[in-house]
Amino acid sequence: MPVEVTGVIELRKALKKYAPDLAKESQKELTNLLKPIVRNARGFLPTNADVPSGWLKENQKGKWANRGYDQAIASKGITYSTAAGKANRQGFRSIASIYNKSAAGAIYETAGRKSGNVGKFTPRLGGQLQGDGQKMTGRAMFRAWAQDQGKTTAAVVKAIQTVNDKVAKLVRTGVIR
Amino acid sequence: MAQDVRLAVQIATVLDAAGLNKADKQVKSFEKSLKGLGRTLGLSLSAAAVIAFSKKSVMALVEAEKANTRLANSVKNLGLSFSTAAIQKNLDDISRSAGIAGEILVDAYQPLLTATGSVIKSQEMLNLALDVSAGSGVALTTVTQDLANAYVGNTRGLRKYNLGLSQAQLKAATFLEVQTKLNKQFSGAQAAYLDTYAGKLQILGEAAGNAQERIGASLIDLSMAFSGSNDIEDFVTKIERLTDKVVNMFDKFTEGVAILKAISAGGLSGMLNRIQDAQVAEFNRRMKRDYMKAWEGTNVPMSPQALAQQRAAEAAAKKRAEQLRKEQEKQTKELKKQNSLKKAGTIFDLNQVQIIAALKGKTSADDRKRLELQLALATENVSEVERLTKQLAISQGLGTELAKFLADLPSAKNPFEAWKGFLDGLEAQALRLANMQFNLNAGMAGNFQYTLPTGNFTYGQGNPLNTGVFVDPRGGGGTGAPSTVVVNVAGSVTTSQSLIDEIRGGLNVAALSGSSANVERRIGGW
Repeated sequence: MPVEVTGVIELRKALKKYAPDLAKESQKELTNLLKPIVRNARGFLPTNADVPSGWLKENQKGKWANRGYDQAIASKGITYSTAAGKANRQGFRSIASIYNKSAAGAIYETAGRKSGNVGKFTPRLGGQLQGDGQKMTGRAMFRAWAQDQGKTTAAVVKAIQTVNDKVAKLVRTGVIR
Repeated sequence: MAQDVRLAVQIATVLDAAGLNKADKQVKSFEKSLKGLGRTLGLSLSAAAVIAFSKKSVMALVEAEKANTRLANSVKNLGLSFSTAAIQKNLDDISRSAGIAGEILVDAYQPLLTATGSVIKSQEMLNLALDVSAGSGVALTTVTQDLANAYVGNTRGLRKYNLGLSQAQLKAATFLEVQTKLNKQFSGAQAAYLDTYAGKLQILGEAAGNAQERIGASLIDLSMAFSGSNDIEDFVTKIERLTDKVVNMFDKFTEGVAILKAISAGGLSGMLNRIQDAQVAEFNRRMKRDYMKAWEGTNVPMSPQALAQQRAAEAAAKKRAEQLRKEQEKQTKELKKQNSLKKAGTIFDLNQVQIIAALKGKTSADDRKRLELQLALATENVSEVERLTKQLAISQGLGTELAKFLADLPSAKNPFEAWKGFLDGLEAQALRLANMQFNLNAGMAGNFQYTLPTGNFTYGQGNPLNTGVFVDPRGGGGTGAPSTVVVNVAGSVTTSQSLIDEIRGGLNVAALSGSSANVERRIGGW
């Protein structure tokens, strides 16, 4: 479950307006916190030689042309964002997220997490499904997230808190009016 | 950039507070709404209807008042404030009888009043406009505007009424003529229209509208007293707030029904999920309906995509404008080029060369104008052609008249012009005289008496011949025998030429003295 932080969007707006340098710094700090997980997740992706040859992108055509596996594409697909996303149905907006965007990456990530390691395709993918609950289980991104054990979450919250404290201090000292 | 990927790890999130309620809040309000369900059902329907009618009435009144204020202000500015009541009454009467909304009449009346500055004339023109509008189907405000324009001499707008006048006739027509023509064509149209069912319905509609305005006025007074509002705008805001509350009550009721359905749809297991789904669906429905409400009073922020689209559209528009400008420039350049080519081509036009050469020489003013006109015609310079033609026409006209005038004048030629002929004649006569020989024959009879001059004659004082002897030319005393006249010339006259010169000089002197020569100056003769 993501942590809910209040007032971050307002804080960011205020930072952009009154302390742009601090805004950049805080974004950079968040980025630095997310990068290791992304790097880790990318490391879990198999090479092209390790996936079933029939799934390789070079052997695909038609509507499967974009679903075929290519390590480079799948690797680029695992990324992060520190921008505020769209609100979901419950009104929550993400402010720090990791994504697995490519189709092949998503297949590798999620294959077998519902039905288990069965059939002719899933067992040949290799890797290890890790995570909490079905929706947060996967072979690359979710595995990296699971291995992180909430350290990044805490760091993110702490970073936001630090920035907040800095802003409060700037206001107290009259730098920001 | 916003990400829309389902496969994601949300590390930190924030609740977007804009218009969102958490599920527990919704449940609580649902409980409240269930409690007040009966009251809601009983009251909201009738209340909503009354409120809607009240709001409409109030707004109708507000519009009517605005129009009246506008008119009153115009009347005041024209210095006719004493007529405000009369104008208002007249417009009310027309509104009642013709079924035209007061605001429209005010808008139609205003230009007439501004153009004429006369209440009576404006009312007369308004009546005419009513007929014209009914007869032609053109909106009343348009007709009055056209009439107001025509009143100040701009009759262009009257073409659409097909008065059977040409454009030139319309331009030349006075307002009185236009009015007469319009009267002739459209008189009685309004009365005829009001006699139809449509006309009667219009009157009924306006009566209902007036009633609504009056009810609105009384409602305002009553409601303002109840609500404690200071003015109409404040009251309208309160009405809107009340409407919002009613709508909210309905929403809660709808949500309650959805939740009840969700509860009864299955067993206990999954009930909470079903309730939550129903709540989310309801929430989404409301959000979809009222999505603009959150932005009331604020500028709607644009997404990066929308901003990009806007920028792209602006850039495209700019590009189009630039392209158009370039095309226009190109066209202008091309035209200039063609003109200059044409101009250059004229250098080799022989006609023009001749004209230009002639212009370079010395010519009279008239001829110069003619040449310039020819050149202008050759170069197709229309404005110059017109100017020179006019000048030349004037010039020619004046020349003709002058020539005619001169022809009518009495001759005033050189008075000495005929002198030469005269003197030549005189010379011939003198020669003839000098060589004259008189032969008197027997056939000649009668008495001839000559008195011979005697003594010395000085020049100009007597005998110019200065002769001492003058012989009777008859000789012989009438015997018929031929005789010879001998003139003995003495003094300065020694030859016949001398004699001639002397005679001529003497005659000249006499002529110039005006005594014996009898010079006829008018005809140039003697």
